Amino acid sequence: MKEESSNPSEADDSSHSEPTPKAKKKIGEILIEKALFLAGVIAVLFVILIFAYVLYESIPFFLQVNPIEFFAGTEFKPWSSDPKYGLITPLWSSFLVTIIALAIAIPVGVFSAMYISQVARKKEREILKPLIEILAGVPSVVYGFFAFIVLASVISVVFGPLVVERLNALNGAVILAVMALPTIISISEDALSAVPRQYKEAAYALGSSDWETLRNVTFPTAKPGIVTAVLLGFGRAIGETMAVLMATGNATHLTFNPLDAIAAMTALIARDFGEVPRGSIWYHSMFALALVLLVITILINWVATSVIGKRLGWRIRR
Amino acid sequence: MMSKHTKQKVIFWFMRLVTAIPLFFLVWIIGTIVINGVGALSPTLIFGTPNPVNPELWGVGPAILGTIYVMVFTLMISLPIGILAAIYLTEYAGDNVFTRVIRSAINTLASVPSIIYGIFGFVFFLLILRFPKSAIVAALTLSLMTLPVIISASQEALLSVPKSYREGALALGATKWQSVRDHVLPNAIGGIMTGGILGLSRAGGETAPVLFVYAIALSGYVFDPLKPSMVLPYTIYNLTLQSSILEVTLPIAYACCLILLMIVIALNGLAIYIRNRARRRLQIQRAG
Repeated sequence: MKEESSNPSEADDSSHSEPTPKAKKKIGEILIEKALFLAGVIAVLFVILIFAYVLYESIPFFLQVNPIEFFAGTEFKPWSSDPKYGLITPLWSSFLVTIIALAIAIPVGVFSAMYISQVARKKEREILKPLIEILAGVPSVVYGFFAFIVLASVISVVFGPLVVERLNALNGAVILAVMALPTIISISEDALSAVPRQYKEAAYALGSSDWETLRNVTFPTAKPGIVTAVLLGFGRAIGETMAVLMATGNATHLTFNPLDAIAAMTALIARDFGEVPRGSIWYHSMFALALVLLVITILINWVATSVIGKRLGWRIRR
Repeated sequence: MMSKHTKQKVIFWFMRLVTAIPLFFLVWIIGTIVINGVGALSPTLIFGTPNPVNPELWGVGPAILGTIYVMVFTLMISLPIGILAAIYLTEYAGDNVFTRVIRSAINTLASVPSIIYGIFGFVFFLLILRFPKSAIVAALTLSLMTLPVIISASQEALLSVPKSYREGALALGATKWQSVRDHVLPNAIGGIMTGGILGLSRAGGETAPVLFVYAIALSGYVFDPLKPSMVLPYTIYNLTLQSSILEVTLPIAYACCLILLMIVIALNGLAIYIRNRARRRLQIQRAG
């Protein structure tokens, strides 16, 4: 990226003196560059393949089921004798858990990031950051297990008679919030820490306190990065599979009650894909769900990293 | 009316309390699993095989082996490709349309939900390429997930090596590759290893991508990488959600969670340690 300019001069040198050994080296260099290039291409290839196969496998579904029935239908019951393939129930279920999860994770995550990057002393920060990273490293199945066994019981006790099902959307949302926190915290923290020191010093020079500087200068400057953090947290939450599958009770009905059982898109795929007869409409409907999910997550990721990034000059590293 | 100073103190204390929430969950989750899991750990459980006749003598040895298999194979595939791609992107590629496509492809790979990797792996590797349900296919599928982690960590590590190192080597007549190999890579290896270890721990804990390409509910020890086997995450899922005798299977599930957590936390700790050491070394070199 940076050494482009040094290449031509080097090439000139080798053509002047001692052609044989340097030419050999040159071939080696070219081979290595090709190998490195190929590794980059593999990533592109698989993105295309993933999209292509999910699309390809969902085509038979759309040939047999009217797209209107899919996108506007409210019932998802591919297993019944009168099968229904309505997208709205699984889609809404996914959104319900994700929205509640973010309602918890955004304030907690942003305040934590502010504290870790701006308020905490260096010692404190050096303990907090690795702990947050460990939270990110806990496998999703362990989160799911914890929600299934422990958290569901706690929520049942707290909400008492209001609870419709022991395993419910709120249970999934709380555990998703915990899982999205490391993403939101670490990216927000990066954004806050990247605010130039001069900005803050100018605020201090004008008599601002630490809090006023944080609220009026640091936070507004870091805002695009924080929005990105939130969007990536959303992407992580809506794509999460095992925790949602284990925590939310798996009932495919349309509900607005967070204390009722639901079945998110990811959970439906994970639960049934292994068992459905291959080639059936049900099988292909799983790919239709996957396609919707893929489009949502890629759109969010694209908005998070490129649109916001370009408009406000942010570079996102993860 | 509160003074400016008091108000700030109150707000900062509030923030400190909020920061405690994620830590509270960390302690709560790990604490619960350690307390309930330690009791169930025994040599029979760790090294034994599933025993449907007598659940008292149930073992999850094959699941531990399966998980380690997947992790090792995933690393063998994704580490070399990931490092090469990172070197290409940071050291060789200019800023043109093509490299921008590569970059956004890597970004996209990182955002694809894990379950989609699962069904893609099933369709592509099992149905199209006709590979057997096996550790190798699980590793190929998981490599797609771990690649972005490894690439971005490696890129960060490569970028943290001062430009003067490269220029020094080039000025002494080294070729581009020589300067990268002998001067950039040795200084970036700490960060690259961190990425590799984090990718490894992610591979070990993922469930959804291996559901349909590797994991089975019950098996003995499977040493053949071309055969399906038990893995820890799927075993946990089976012993809880799919279990009809939860009171019997729950302690085993706790123990499985504990083993999985120990593997993952040990790897994460190692990654953090290596990264800090590498960072310090680079700082000292820069200062000296």
